[in-house]
Amino acid sequence: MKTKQHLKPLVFATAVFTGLSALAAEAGKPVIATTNYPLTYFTERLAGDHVDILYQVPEGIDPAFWKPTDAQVEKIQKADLIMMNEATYEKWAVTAAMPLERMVDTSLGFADKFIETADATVHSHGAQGLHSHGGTAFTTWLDFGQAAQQATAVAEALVAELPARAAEVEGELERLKEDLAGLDEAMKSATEPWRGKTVLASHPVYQYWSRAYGVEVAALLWEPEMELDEDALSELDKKMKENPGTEYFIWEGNPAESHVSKLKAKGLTSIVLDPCGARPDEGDFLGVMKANVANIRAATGGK
Amino acid sequence: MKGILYLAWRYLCHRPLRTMLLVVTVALTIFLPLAVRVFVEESGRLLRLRAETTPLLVGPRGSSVDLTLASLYFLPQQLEPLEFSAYNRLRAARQGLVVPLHVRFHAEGAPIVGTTLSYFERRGLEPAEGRLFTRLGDCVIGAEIARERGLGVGDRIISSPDNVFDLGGAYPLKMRVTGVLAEANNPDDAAVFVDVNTAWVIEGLAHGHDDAEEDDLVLSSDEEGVRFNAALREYSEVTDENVGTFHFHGNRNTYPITSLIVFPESDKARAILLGRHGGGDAAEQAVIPAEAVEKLAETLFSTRKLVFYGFLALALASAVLVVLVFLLSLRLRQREMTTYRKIGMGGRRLLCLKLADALVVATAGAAIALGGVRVLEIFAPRILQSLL
Repeated sequence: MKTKQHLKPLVFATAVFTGLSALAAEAGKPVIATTNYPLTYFTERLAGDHVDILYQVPEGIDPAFWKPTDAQVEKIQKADLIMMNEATYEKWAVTAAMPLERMVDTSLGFADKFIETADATVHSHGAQGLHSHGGTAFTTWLDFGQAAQQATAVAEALVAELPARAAEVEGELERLKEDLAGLDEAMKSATEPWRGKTVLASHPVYQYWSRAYGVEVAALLWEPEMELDEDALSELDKKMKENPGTEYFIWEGNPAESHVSKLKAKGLTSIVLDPCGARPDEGDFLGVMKANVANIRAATGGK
Repeated sequence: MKGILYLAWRYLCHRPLRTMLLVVTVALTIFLPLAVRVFVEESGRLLRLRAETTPLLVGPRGSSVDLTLASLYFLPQQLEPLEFSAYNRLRAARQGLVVPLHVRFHAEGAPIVGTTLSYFERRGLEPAEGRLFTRLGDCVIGAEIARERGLGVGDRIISSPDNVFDLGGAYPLKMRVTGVLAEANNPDDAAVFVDVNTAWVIEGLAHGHDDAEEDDLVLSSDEEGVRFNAALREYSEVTDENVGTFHFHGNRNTYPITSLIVFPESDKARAILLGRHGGGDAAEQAVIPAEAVEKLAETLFSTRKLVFYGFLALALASAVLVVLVFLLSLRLRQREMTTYRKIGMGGRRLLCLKLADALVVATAGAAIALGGVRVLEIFAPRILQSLL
């Protein structure tokens, strides 16, 4: 009885100490800043709860054209790691003061294979003002082989930051790479009927996808929610004349029913191929890409 | 004894000018060499302190002292620029933290130091007001600049033209002050810090300009591109409205910097870096600032022996003069001494009286000199920091 009474304070002290240690450890979690949703997804999967992710792009804003405020840049500067897509994706970073040694260039591994964009038309849409898609094509993750390389770059940086979690991160990287390899195979087979053919697209964001899966893409500068007036439709007619025999039109988001009907009248089947640069309303990156594959399969009858 | 001292004191007060001159002569003779020693020692300490907090410098081949002076004290030197590719190479080597420095321009005498945010972390510099820079065109100023020019957060400071006769050279850039650094008591207090990209804007390697839609701005247009004429307005200030128009031309790897500060992660890393840059055919040199400063200090202070002998000669001459003055005084006081003898003052007490005069003067002079040296020891660091 006396022994039990002596043990009680010891047990209590041990419990308190362990709890405090755990709190202290978690309170010191590294902050990882990300600049788009795919990199956020990769970081979330690979690091789990061991990091705090700083993703400041507001809902409804395309991260490729996001302009952070001074206060937001200041927060990014203080992050332990900054996962960058590069390939001219983060246009704001050109003029921001960034801590170079904490920036992780996730596309460095295939920088020699970047696609230069030729004609860069300045235009505006939504509330984001004037911008152009000039410079380098930047939706690098739509080539799932490249996405795997970016995920690997994220993992390497996380391992250097969290050496104690190296095994966990590397294990999760293998699972993520398997998922991306699965997507790659699925996309290859889904786009089989399109190999060597041309499809039209609402926006010039499918360059790497086009190269990886052997599908020619002729792009316009449309938004899913914009009105298809006479100018827009004559632009479409011009594109169709330049690319005879094209049957499919890829949208980056769900188009209005009226758009689908108008395109149908011209012999074009609408398909959503969401680049998923921003966080989706539902699901995650993997879910969105699987849905993209399913949409293509449904339209083309591919396997 | 009290009587002797009283008589000596009364005599000294009776000849105030003579007494003062003698005291000042003795004081200066003792003070000057000690003051020089204080300044030399403090200068050496300050030079070494700045160098000791900078483990390694990598820069273009040439004088290690010039590289150290440019990188640690921001003093303009004739150095070949280093290419930014050197920074990328060193970073890729992963031997430690690498911080680029661009020190070429100035803002009305204050050096403009282009660097990255790591500089502030490693130097322990934090803003006393405002924040560090977040974008192109921002700057953070040292405490001394803020004090002397009455500048604060939100004010503007303009870079000075590199060469007023070079009309095609660097354009002045009006920079936004986002922060004032806390007092550091080193050359950082007198500098204007910008992101290295901003330094390249001043260099003319990046700019922002109006959208060139007007035909009269086009010089020529062909397959290679469109060339605009000089009427195209380039912005001399980065604002919220025009920041998006700023862009860089050419290959960033060839952009110029002055040097790189390297903080090796280990002794092994340091040895590797020194080894890589030690060969005669290496494109760059690695310099240990502490060694370069030691070399500089030895050169600067090699004349101190000469100065010491000079002061010694001066002290001897002063001593001879003082002795001469005392001897002449004694001659003038012969009647006074005769009077003391006649009223019964013994030979020994008379001798003490004669020596007391010299003792009081010497003691007063020495006390003033040593007091002055003590005060100088307190203020020497501040005086030297304002000069260095």
